[in-house]
Amino acid sequence: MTTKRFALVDCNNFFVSCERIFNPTLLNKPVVVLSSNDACVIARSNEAKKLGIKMGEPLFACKELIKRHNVQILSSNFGLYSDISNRIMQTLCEHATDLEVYSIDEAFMHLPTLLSGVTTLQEQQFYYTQYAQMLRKAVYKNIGVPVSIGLGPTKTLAKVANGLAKKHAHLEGVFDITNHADFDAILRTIEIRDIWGIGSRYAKFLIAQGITNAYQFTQCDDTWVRKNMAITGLKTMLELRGVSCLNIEDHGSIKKSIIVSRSFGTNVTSKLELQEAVSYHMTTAAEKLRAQNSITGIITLNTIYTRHNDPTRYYTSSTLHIAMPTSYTPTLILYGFECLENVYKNGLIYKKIGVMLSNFYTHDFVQLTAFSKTPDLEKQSSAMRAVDRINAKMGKRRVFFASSGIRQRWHAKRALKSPAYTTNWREILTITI
Amino acid sequence: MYTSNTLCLKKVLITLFKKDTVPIEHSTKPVNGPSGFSTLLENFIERPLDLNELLVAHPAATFFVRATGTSLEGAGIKTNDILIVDRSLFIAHNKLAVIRLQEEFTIKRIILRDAKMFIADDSCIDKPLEITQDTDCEVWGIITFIIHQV
Repeated sequence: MTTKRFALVDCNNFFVSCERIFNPTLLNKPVVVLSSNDACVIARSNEAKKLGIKMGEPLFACKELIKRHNVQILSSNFGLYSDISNRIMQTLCEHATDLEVYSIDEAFMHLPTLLSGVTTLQEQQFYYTQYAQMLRKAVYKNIGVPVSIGLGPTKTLAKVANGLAKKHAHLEGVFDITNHADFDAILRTIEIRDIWGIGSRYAKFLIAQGITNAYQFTQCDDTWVRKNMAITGLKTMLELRGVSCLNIEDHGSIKKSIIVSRSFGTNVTSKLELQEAVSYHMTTAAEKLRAQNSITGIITLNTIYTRHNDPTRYYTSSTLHIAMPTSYTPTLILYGFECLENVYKNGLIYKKIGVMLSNFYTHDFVQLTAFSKTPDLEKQSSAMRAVDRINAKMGKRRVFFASSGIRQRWHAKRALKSPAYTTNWREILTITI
Repeated sequence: MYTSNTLCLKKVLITLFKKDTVPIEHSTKPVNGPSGFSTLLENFIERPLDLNELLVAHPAATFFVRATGTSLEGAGIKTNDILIVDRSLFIAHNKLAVIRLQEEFTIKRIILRDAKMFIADDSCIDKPLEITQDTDCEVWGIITFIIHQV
């Protein structure tokens, strides 16, 4: 009986890798990508990491380092990154029996179960590793982005395996931790801080108790963990032991982005039904967003569909880069509808739809240009506060906001942005021959 | 530089990467086959012709590139033509390809001869450049169509 494998596929230095597809002068060199308004570093190549440039470091703080080592700087090009991400997820979806897009560059998936006849644990590990290697090479060949793949019997262990695959070059980008001979020893090398699902608060608490690595954590008493770390902490511990508690679509407490996605109970073909689903999911997502005091700058709508007489599951998505980050539900719903326009095609059978909010800012971040009209933000936030209060009291809610929405065109400073190689005919790669 | 390892993957990849749609002849003759087959034909006829179905076999791996210059006019690439490049295809003799040579992109024809690989354009068709394990060269993608505006 083969243990079902979760796989976590994660792109290496995603933004930099996207830029490298179309610009070979960036290969094997230190490269950094800057956030909106060219403020701080949001991506580094391995060479840049080695120089000591930290994630999130403001540009002015590492300007000296950059100049000294001739580090290549690029402004962020989210149009490109979203498109490349879409291609990668499409490719993965063709191989997966189930796919969960976790962020712009990560996805969980179930690998197809091995045929019977492969019995020993070593054989299983060999074949699954080979399969993952094939996936990895396929993504690199078809799209040009290097990925790492971690395999495990649970999502949390797949994440652990992925981290190891990235860290140790001899693993060649793939690691299967399932039933590993040195499982305990491996868990001893994983620090508490680095475990997916354990935030800094719980990490501090555990370290104070003398629990400093993943192995020690798995040896804790179930009831004690449940009492001190709530159900999510218990689930994380069980997952580390190899007991699967989180399925595809179940999220741990730490979110890089907010995703609400559900498979449909029946086949959905009409745009109206899809709009209802988008509105519903977006409302939930926006609530979670406000609960953590964030506003979002990017929304992605993704969907899995099939065609008549074709059982293959296809994936497509559409991403909107929001000029003025917001957490106002009506605005987000309208953006969701805009994405749906890009994604919807008559005649397809939709199986699953999801919304993903990412690129968060804190609630008090507002950037305006001289030319834009500001929406009444105070009114918006007090309206949402009232709605949230009512919802908290009444519990369930199905509220559709019939607002007209306010859209702003806002051009952030992006002095060093690469061309829109895959989304603008005027900016495609030009080769001189 | 793709070695024979990549060629072994070909069999696996072909079964796993199902083609989205394959253009079939638009026929007005009635089809008398098992009901499943004629239903498929019916669905296809109802949809208007879509260039994407004809020209883009593998959307996730397809990119568009513009060529400027004249070194491949003999091959049919005129300056300002747009090329459809499919990265999922494998290298083969006589294919036109976008190739990375050191830190630059170029477009060349692939020549496979005597168990060696060469690349050439119009000007060096008699003396093509040999690609070895040591050459800093990577085939970026195979050109499937040339779009030329008249």
